[in-house]
Parts: sequence; structure tokens; C-alpha cells
Amino acid sequence: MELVVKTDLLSVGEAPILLRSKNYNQLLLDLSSVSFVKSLELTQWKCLIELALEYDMKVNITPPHEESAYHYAGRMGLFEKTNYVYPFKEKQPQTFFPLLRIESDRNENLYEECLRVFSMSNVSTNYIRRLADTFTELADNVYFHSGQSPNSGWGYVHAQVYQKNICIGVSDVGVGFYGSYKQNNQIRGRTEKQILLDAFKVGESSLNPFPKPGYRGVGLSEVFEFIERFSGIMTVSSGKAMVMATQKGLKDEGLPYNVYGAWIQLEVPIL
Amino acid sequence: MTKINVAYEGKFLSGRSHAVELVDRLMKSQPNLPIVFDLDGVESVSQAFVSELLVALKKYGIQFQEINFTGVKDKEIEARIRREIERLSQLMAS
Repeated sequence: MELVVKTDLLSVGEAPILLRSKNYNQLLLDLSSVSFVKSLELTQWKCLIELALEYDMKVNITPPHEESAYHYAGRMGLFEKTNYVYPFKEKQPQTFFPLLRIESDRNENLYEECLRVFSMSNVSTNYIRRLADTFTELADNVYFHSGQSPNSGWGYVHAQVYQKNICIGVSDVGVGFYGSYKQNNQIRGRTEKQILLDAFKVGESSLNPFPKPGYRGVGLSEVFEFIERFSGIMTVSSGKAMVMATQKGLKDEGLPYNVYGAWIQLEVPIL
Repeated sequence: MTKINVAYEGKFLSGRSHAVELVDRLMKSQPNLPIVFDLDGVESVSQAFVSELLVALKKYGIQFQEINFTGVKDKEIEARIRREIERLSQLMAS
């Protein structure tokens, strides 16, 4: 049976649990209505493709009808390993940030790619370094927290320059924030929303041995400092909760769909 | 004193596992105290790397005051290292 996943957030968010249900042997990722490919979406779709392949499913693609979106996705390698053959030889150009798989905490290549790509947009070196620190922190968290056990997660990251902003997307189809806390017995009566908010506090980590203080849990608070300092906007979605981080602080919201895993989108101005 | 030229590890140091691996390698050679990490040539160091480096050395019985960092050209990285040493010192004292 074929699972058809369209590009609406409900469909993409809930697809991982359906792919894992063993009720399907094929995935059809229908991208026909896509007119512009954002970094976060690219990482979300790639995660679904990889998850389906992990379950030995065939992956079919209906590519975007809109030509520029089609070529962008194709050149970024989105269709690789699927039944859809991107017929053009030209691959990812040097000016693009690659779609990268995260499966360890050795993500120094993110730093290199940030320097290489964003220096073409007249971004100051110091700013790129701080951005790369932030990006790497978000990517490392995928590996540390999204797996069925600590240090076993995987996901995808991507970045692009869009309308005078740098946009970063980080996705995984793992256990999510709540799941990570739950499997480490760290829920302590908190809701999904509360856990997402708490994750930004210094010293807060699902991997700390509560009630003893642990040394983990500084990274996301540093990410928040970066957002405050450089007028960034970050949304973190996991489960049925979303937190938006801006200079004004943290704001939580409920989602009308379930995100199985975690989606992070960060936008910062080019400085 | 043992001086480690960290630039051989890369110009950007981020992974916790990398810090642990570096400390394990270092400890096999039985270093003399204090240990000095020379960051000349390193462009950035993540908080996670610094944190894990300090904690891993502590597990080998090396106290924070026996660890020094030199050659840090980026003031923000210098502040990050200082902050992490202070934070961990307070945490371990509590």
C-alpha cells in the first residue's frame, strides 16, 4: 500500500508514525504544488525519504510543477535514492549550502560550509562564525537527543540566503523533545509546551541526571543569546507544541497537527 | 607543563566526542601539569567542546586550575571559555 504525503504540515508532521506503522510499502511524496523550496521543507522531505528507505519502502516522487522549485530540489539532491530520476547532470552549485545528513556530533563541516557559502553574501567573518556555532549546536542536538537512546539520532540540515536573510532548517523524525525527556525519566509533570520552553534554560537537558545538577544544557540558551543579539527568529516545533524565540523572548503555541520528531527554523538578517 | 597545539585538531572544534577523544589521547601520554591548550590557529570552539574537555580532564583528576588556554584571538571565544570554567566550577562546588 502506498502512503501519499503532500506538503501540508499536517501530512508531513504525521508521516513518520505512518511510515513506521508497517502498513505501507511505498511512499509517494507529492511535491507538485510546491512553488518555492525553503530549507526547513527540504530537510523535512529528505528525512521522510530516508525514513521510508530505512523501512525498505519504494519512494516515488511527484516533483514540483514550478520549474525553479523543481530544479532547486533536484540540484540539492532531494530525489537521490528515490524512483524519480532527476534527468539533469548539473548538481549542486558552489553557491548553495548542501543538504547535509547529521548522524554524529562531529559537524565541523557545517562551519566550513557556512564560511564558504555565506562569505559570498558579504557577511562578516565574525558573524558567520557565531552563526556557524549556533547552527552546529542545533545539529549536534539532533544526534544527542532525537534517537531511541542518547547519541544515536539522525536528521538533516540545510541553509539558504533568502530576501536579505539567512534561513536555516534542521529536521529529524526521531523521538521529539518530549520523547527525549520521557525516555530519560525527566518529564517531572511538565507538558510538551513547558518542556520546549524549559529547553532554553541554562542547565536544562534531558541528559542531566536530575535531581543532581548535570553539566549539560547550555547550548540552546546560547542559541537564544545569538537570536537576541542579532534579531533572529527561531521556531521549534515538536509534538503538538511550538516555541518561537525572538528578541522579545519566548512564546509558545499549540499546533493543530503533530510533529513526530522536531523541526527548527532559524532566520537571521545578513549582517 | 604540557602544551597541546589544538590547531592540529581543526580550525573549528565543536563535538563533545572530539573533546573526549582528545583528552583520552592526551592522557595516554601521561602529561605533566599544568596542561596548556594552545588555540593559535583555531577559529572557533563550541561551548559543548570546552565543557566536555574540562569535564573529561576532571574525570582524570585534573582540576580546572591546572588547565590553561592560550593563543585565543577571538574575544568571544575567550569569554566563552572563561564562562564555562566559572559555570562548571560553581556546579561542581555545589
